[in-house]
Amino acid sequence: MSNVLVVAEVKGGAVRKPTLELLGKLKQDGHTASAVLIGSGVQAQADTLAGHGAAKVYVADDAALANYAQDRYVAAAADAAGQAQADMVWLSASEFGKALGPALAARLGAAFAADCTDVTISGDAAEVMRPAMATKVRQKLRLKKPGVKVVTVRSGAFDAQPAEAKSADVATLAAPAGDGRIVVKEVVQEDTGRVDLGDAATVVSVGRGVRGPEGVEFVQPLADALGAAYGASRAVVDSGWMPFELQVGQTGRVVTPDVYFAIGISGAIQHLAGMSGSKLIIAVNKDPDAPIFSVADYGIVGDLFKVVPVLIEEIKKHKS
Amino acid sequence: MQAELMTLALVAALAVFAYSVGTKVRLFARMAPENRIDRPWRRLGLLFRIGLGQSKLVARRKERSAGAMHFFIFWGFMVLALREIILFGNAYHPGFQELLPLLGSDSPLGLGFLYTFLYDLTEVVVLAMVAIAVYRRLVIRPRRLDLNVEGLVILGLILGVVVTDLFYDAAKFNLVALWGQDLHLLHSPVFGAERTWAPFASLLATGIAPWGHAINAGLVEFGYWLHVGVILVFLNLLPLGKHAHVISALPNVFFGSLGYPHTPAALLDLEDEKAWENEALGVTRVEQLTWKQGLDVYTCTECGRCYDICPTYVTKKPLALKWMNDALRHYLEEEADHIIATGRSSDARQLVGDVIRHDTLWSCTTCRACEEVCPVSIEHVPRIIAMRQAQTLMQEQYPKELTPTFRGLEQNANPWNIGYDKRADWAAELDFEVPILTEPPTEAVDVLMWVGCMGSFDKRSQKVAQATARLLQQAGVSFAILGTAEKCSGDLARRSGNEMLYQALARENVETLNGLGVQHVVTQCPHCLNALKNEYPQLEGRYEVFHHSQYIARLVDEGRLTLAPSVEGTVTFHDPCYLGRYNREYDAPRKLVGATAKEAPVEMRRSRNESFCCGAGGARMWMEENIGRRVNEERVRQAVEVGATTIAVGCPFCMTMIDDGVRQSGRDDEIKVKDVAELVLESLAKPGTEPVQH
Repeated sequence: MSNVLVVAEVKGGAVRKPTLELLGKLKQDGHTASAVLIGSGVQAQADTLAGHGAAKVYVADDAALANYAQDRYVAAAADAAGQAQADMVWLSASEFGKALGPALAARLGAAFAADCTDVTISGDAAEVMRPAMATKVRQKLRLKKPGVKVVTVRSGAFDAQPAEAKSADVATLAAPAGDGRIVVKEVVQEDTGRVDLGDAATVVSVGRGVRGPEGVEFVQPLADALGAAYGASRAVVDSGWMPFELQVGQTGRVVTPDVYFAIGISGAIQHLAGMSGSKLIIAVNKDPDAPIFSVADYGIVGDLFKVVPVLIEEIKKHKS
Repeated sequence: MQAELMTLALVAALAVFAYSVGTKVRLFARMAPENRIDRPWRRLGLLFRIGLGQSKLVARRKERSAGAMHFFIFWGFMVLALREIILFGNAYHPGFQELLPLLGSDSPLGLGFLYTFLYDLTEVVVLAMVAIAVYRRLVIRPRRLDLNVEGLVILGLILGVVVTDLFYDAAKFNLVALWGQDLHLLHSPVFGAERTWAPFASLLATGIAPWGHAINAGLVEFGYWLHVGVILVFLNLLPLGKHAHVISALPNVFFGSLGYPHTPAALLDLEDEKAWENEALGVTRVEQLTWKQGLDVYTCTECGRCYDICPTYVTKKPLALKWMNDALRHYLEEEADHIIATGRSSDARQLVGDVIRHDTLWSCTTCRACEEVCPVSIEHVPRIIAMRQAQTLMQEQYPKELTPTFRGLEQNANPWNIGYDKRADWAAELDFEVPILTEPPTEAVDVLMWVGCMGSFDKRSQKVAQATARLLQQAGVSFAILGTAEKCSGDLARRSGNEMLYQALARENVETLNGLGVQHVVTQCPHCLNALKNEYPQLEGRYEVFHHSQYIARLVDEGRLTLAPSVEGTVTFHDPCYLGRYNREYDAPRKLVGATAKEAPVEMRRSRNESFCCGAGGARMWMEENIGRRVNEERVRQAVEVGATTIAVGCPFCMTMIDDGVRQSGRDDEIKVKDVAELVLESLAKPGTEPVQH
């Protein structure tokens, strides 16, 4: 049993799912997990981390940490790793983890492995799996260097466990050190007022089958009912029925949600390249030969204008 | 006196001319070197066909009237050039013509008199052509021409050349006939006097005779010197503007590309660290264009034939080649002094970004239609690729949508990053086994079937791969595939300037193919065809490569496949750029389409070497098309115009684009898009049925 510190990633005031996946894995494997929360106004998230299995939550909550600042974040995480007497530090391999992980490892003089898809702790050593040679092979690495080890893990590699209601055992970290030489002044995000495609657990996308902007509106309630992000195929975007930011596919966004609804999308290879990594794919199309059915887990052959209302009704029924 | 005056005028004019041309030559000498004097006999062939024969001008039906006009002006200049020698010579030796071989009074067959008739006629023809040219510019106003003062000034000067000579001749005839002056005309007992042979000047002479001796005598002097003046001014205006083509067109045609339609992209030496440091891979700075590419932009007359033919211009994208030429020429002018002095352009403006906009550079589908119609052999596409190379390799300024595509090629050797182990899965759906080549082929394997990424992974194109395999099997051809050892040919990487990725893929493919001793290849993808056939030889990969339509057509010819037309409705064939314009194959697919369609196939208004790109070439398949109308939808409109119910294609990218365009137009219930191999498979004759001839 090892002592592992998870560096939590907070976005828009909430802990991101990949962090919870890391805690889920540690809980499943029976390791002692603690977490460190860094940011401004993040204290409230401590309970979420506790609910997912963090025995202790170190909090560095300070206005100077509102935006990502390399040296201050590294200092806070290193401080937490010391106090927790962690054997390992885990981060998700997001932009956040990619920036923080290597710097933290250097600060701690630790062994480091990036972009792992599995981590096994055995005694003093840790074994990780990671894709290598441009994903052509999978590499098994054994981190043997004594002392703390740092890894970043790909999102989706582990599953989050159901949350329990728990209040956290919080330890407050000292005011942030570091000279703040690199300062992120502002993070600007385009506000679409919708669920972001990249983060969404469920995505509903529409294709040429909707036949026009009215069709786009017609399917929208399905996305709303599911709390899903709403996307589109290239044909819909080219026709000007939806903005380019919502295009899923080779030249648009690549999404890997838990559930992907393809409504009226025939499934050109350019589109499949953007969504075939989804965990569960449900397709509605009137053409039984549409290529989308070759990647779909569930397929409904039928007129989307008849199928979608039934789907919406069933989902509403199920929810109530 | 006359001789001294002429010498003065000539020396002055020629000095200025030599200076203008010399500046250009010194500029070109500082630009990238390129050997364009190899195989001189074939170059003379180009000169005769495209230059003297004006083939690009007169051979195109759509442009025939304008082409004919130019033909007559061009040959008018040729005929009158000799006349100028005679006229200029007269200043030194009155009766200069008598000194010229074959042109004197006693020349055999009266050649001298015949020439008199010829130039007299030519002057009137040129006059008429100038009138037509002015009429076109001011009244008809074709879209491809942009009216400007320079064009009218040049036409005015041509007019001046002809009119001054006509008046000079006419007045001279009057002096001889009415006032008995001996002005050294041709005269012979057999052919009479020169005047008899110059009907138009003669007519004019009758007209101006009543003006009296003084005016006629004045006209001879004045007409002569005005003529000389106009010629010398004309000569010196030419190098300064777009009409430099009068001087540079014939050389440009002579130095044009031989063989393969244009010079293949240079195989960059990516190991050259100096080149990386100096940003010398591809074209970052204008002087890195070759001297021929420099000559190209000076030769462009802005006739605009490349306008109408360009799929991106037609669909309102920013690429308009004649303006690209214009922009490059002005930039070269701007930088000429700096380049000549230092060998480098100044840093005042960036070639790509300031002079050529990014959108412009990336709009090109590399379809080559512009090169096909350019009357003066300007090579537009290679320089676009060269500029893209610099943008992609060194500036990393390429459309960001290409990033996942490049990553897919790097990781799994296909643009979608689908696991490379799935590459041969399409073959599993066949009811026979397609052998995978793993060791050098024995005599048993006739041909390697190169499937390409689309045929391997795209559901629609997999059907084409399956149809092709079935046909080969049906005809008893022994063939094999490379299976998971096949990689993207690299075409899209090369067209998008990613030479590093192209070379990585191509070298691996060449190694595989050479290792297996492959000699014959058949492929359904014209882009793979072009890479394997025309670009792999740069990497020591030499194979005989067929497009599947060529190979299948041969099987039909040999009687190994028998066809009975089965395709209903109106069929039209859409030429893929990389099969047609790049590899000059227009007939094999048409033959197959003709043999499978019940009705005689129809041609779209843009077909064969003037076919309209589907919009996917030049790696455009992998970029967003956000500017203007969509190319594929425009092409589908052209098919709808001729009432097509089946659009036959011969390229997986065309298949996707045309199919998409048909769906977008909402006509997917009326119009089918089929590959030629699919049409052939549908039309295989059952034993006992006879093929029908159209």
